[in-house]
Amino acid sequence: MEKNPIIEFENCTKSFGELVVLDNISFSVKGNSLISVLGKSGSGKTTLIRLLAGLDKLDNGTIHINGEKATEGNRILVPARKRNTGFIFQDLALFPHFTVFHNIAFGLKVNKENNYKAIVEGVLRQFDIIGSRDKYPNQLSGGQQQLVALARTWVLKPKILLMDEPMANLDVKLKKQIRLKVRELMKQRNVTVFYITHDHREALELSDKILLLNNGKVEFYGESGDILKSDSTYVKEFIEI
Amino acid sequence: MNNQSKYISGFAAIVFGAAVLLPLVSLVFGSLFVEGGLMITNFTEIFQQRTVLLSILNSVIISILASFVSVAIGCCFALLFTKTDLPFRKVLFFLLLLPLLLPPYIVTVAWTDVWLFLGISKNLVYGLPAVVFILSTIYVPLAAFIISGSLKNISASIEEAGLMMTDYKTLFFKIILPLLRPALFSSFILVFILSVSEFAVPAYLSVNVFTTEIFTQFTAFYDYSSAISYALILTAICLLLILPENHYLSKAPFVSFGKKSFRQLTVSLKNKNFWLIIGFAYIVFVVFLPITMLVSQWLIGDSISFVDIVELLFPALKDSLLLSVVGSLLVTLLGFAFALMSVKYKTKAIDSILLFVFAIPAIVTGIALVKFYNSPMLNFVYGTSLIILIAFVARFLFVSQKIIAGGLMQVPDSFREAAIIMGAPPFYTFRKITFPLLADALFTSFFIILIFCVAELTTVIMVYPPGTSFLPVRIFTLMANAPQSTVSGMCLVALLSTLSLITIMMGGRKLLINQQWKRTQ
Ligand SMILES: Nc1ncnc2c1ncn2[C@@H]1O[C@H](COP(=O)(O)OP(=O)(O)O)[C@@H](O)[C@H]1O
Ligand SMILES: [Mg+2]
Repeated sequence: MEKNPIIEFENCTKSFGELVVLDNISFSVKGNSLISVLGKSGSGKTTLIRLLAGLDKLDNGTIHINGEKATEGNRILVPARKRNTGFIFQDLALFPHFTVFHNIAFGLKVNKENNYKAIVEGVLRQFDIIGSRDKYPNQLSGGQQQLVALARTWVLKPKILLMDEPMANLDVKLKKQIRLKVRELMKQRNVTVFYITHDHREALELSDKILLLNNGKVEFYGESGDILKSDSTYVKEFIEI
Repeated sequence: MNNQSKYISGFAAIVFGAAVLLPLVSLVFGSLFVEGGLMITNFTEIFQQRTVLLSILNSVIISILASFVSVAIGCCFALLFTKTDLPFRKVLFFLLLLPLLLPPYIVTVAWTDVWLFLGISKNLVYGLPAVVFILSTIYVPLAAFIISGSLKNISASIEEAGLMMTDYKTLFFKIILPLLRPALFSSFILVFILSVSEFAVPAYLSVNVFTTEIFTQFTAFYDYSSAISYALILTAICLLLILPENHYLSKAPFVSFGKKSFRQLTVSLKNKNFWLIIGFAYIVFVVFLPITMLVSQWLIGDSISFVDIVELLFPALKDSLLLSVVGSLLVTLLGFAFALMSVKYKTKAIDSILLFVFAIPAIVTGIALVKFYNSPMLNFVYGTSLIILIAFVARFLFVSQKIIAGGLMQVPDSFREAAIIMGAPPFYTFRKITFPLLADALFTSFFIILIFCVAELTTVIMVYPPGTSFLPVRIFTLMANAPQSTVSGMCLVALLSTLSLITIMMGGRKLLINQQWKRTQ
């Protein structure tokens, strides 16, 4: 267990009907790290970060965030909007009827930030998408859409950033660009990032830690370099060594 | 799903259950069980009466023929307008669908105008073939619409994979046609049910079918128990037919929104001009010819001026419009609540219940409502326009719910969740995200149901309270004694009001949706 963890899963179980997706898992994360979540499709990666965001309830167990009990069993103690997390959905969930500007301004306006115009302009520059300010999401390229989704959560200054395979259909070069952006941002602001991917090479290159899910259990959790030394056959197979 | 939408859905379910389901269920069970003995003798009597048997036979023959013709022609047009590179196919398809929005009684008057003008013998005009012909022209678009929807769901990659192995002809018969089978079958059944329940067309052409027989028993002879037992037989026929296809029909998307989910393969036609002429000729023949004839018949007739007709129909026109607007709003609100139930809570029973209510013939719905609400205690419904609104809900809720559910499925949960994580409260999220994205579907529902309400004759003629005048009912009652040219003139007024509604709505929709998006940001 980490000292003063920012996130702590304790004996967490989650099932959908008969299907047990997460089976009594425990792990903890210290602040300011980038964790790649790996696992086959259907292994519960999305479920894990949805639980963390407060979008789903547990069957059993507790989730602590910042030392505070956030979810206990089927009760959400800290609601999603109070968790100070950012969530980038697999489909990005950009509002199709809002321009880029208004997509990014949405959260600021909801949180009564009067100075939102200047803040949005700032982040548009920072992310190099100022040219798309008044475009609608469907007028953007895949990479630009990713950046907008990232900027939309970024303006809200999350302490935890959850990304669900956000780059699944980007080309290698763009991927690299955005990956660098995420790392740069993260170090700037002391953010903890959960990054779901199915590409273990990407995980090895990018992350501080790797969490590998298999069959409802945590198959591996540790420094990303150490995964190469693991002697579990499943891990070896998964990362093809 | 939050509490507000739970309350909305729960409230809608109670309203629908009490106002619509209860009368329908009590018609069936009330007469089967309470007066059990009586009904059974009634049923045996029915099959001994020649006229009744003949009317059932007529109904079945008409419906089978109309279904065959509609599905066959509808399938051809669906293929032509969705699977080929025919120029103008979108416009042509839109024009083809137009008769769906025209009230059947107007179409009937228009065609009789054509035939009488051509000097076709009255025996033929006022007869079974004419009913089959008119029903087919009305339901070809419906079949084409359903089949085209199914064609659009065949992904290009399936066809391309097939084309790697074989030629297009084999592909068509081995892959495409089998994939179309549920749509073909469903549209056949749907057209059958709608034809067997149709009242206005056979009534105007004085062809004795089952619905007109029921109507006569009920309104002319006041023989309620006969009318009800006939009604139950008709209902049983419809529900039994729908049962096997329940799953497909209750899930079939009626209108789809947003981008098409699949890439589509189109066939390049060799002689485009030929097919263009065929498509165009059909539309001219079926849509424009009868309407033109309506105009000319009224002009030829020596009787009545346009202004006089408008004056004659004005009160009914006004009442119709008002009631239809209120009715359509009500149906759309309930449709929204029921769409929430079926899409968000995944309650499958909802779709089936609505489909069954929809499949119950309008005349039966009318009888059920009259029987249930015609009591001193419920007179506040029976004696007022409220009963017409209830009839609209019973008739059209299924359609509205389908349209709105289709829209709701285009708004992924992640939109709502993204807003909530960013700190937006549920109602704010609904107002800014869900509602604007649903506006298109809600408006389409309002629009289509409005057109349906304005055209609805069968239930309204059964339930309308004294003092209210409803346009189709007014025209229908005047028809009996008016000369043909006056009837044509009246239908022309009704047609013009329907067409102007369509125009206003289509213009309004564009405006509204653009505005909506700008305002919500
Ligand atoms: N809302 C849900 N209802 C039922 N089953 C679900 C639901 N969400 C996820 N599942 C199931 O849980 C399993 C894990 O899903 P998910 O966490 O999305 O996997 P991953 O993101 O690793 O591909 C899958 O088998 C999926 O079908
Ligand atoms: Mg996933």
